[in-house]
Amino acid sequence: MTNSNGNAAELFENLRLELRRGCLIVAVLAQLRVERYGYTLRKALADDGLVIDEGTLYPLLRRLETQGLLVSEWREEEKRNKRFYRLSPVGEEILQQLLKEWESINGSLARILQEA
Amino acid sequence: MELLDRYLQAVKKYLPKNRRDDIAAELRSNILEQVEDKEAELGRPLTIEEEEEMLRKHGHPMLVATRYMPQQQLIGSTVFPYYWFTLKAALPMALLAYTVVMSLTFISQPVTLGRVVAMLFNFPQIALYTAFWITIVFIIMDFAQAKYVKDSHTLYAWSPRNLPPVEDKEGVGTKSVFEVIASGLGILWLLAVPSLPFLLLGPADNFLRYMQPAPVWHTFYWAFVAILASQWMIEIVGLFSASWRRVRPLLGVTAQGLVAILFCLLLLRTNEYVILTDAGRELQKYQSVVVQINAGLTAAFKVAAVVLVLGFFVRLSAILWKRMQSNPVMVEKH
Repeated sequence: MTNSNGNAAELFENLRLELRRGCLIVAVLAQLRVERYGYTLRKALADDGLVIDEGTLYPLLRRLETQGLLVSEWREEEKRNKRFYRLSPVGEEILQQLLKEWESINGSLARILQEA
Repeated sequence: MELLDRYLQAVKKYLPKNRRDDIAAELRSNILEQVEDKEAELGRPLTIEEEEEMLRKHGHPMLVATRYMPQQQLIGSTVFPYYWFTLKAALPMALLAYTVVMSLTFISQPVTLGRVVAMLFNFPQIALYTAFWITIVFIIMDFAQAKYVKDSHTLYAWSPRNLPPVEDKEGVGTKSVFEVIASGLGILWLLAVPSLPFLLLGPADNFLRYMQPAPVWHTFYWAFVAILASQWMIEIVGLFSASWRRVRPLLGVTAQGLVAILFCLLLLRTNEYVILTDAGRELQKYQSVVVQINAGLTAAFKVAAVVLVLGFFVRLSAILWKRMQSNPVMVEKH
């Protein structure tokens, strides 16, 4: 019984992470319509209820930048060098498409759940 | 912040040279920011323990660095189903080829326990080599596919029309009934042979005055009968039970394996299958006849053993192949 509960919990955790993965990217892109650096972005996401650990967020920012969705620059702020990220024009375009897809999925899910 | 410096140094060790300073500088500024926030919240500097806890939460240096690297895999998800399918198909084939080669050497050379054991224990090495070379080929294929094939659908071009026709569902056919009858008659024949030797020898049964089966048959004869009778019972039950029908191939192949083992044991135990009776010993001419018969039987049993071992592995491979076909690799489509 304990083992099956453990498996169910592990399964849920895997599915939850899978569900979150795509959503996190949309959230990060949306937050970066305003320029931020890693730590403040993480705080902003957490304030909006989307807690994401550093080990995931900072490499994600680099990956999105490599993909051309973000642009970044080093700048000094409060006597410390920080790397600021913001959405690139391509990122803006992709974000709009992703939001449309998100709304479509959300609408479909809502209808499916209503039917059920 | 000595701990932070040590932490960043450890992370840098696992990062690619051209990006390591940049990534480490960004990590430093973010972590320092976090420390300042925490200190402002507590109204005092962080203790060593608190600093340590914060870094520990940030993650193991190797893991943190790995997340900055592009995802690496030897065989990607596009090629992987082909790789897995080939691997699963190749291993039974390798087993079959190995058995054929080994069996052929058994005909030409004497059977010894050492050779039988060596044959059994050498296969894992062959399987490992096979898997190794298949993996190498697919790594190259994956590399070539990623570099030169832009459309991954090319690998999966297919048409429903080209799929094989639906296989007949396994059921009780006339063939199965005849098989059971034939097996039953075969066992009856085998049981009748000791008391009615002409069933085996025909008119030559007169020779039994001078020759008789060697004592080794007292054990092996009944072992053969027991195995064949169990196989027959399985066939009978299979006629009436669908669940038994599903495991029948496996039980059948097990019985064949046991018969093959018996033949091998027989060959290992003796090369004297016929001996002279008291009457035969008195006649000089039967001395050489017995030697010739034993030599002939040894050769015949070796061939039988090879055929049985071969048949066993062919049937085993067929069953494994069928099982694998019914459990294809799941290819996720996103």
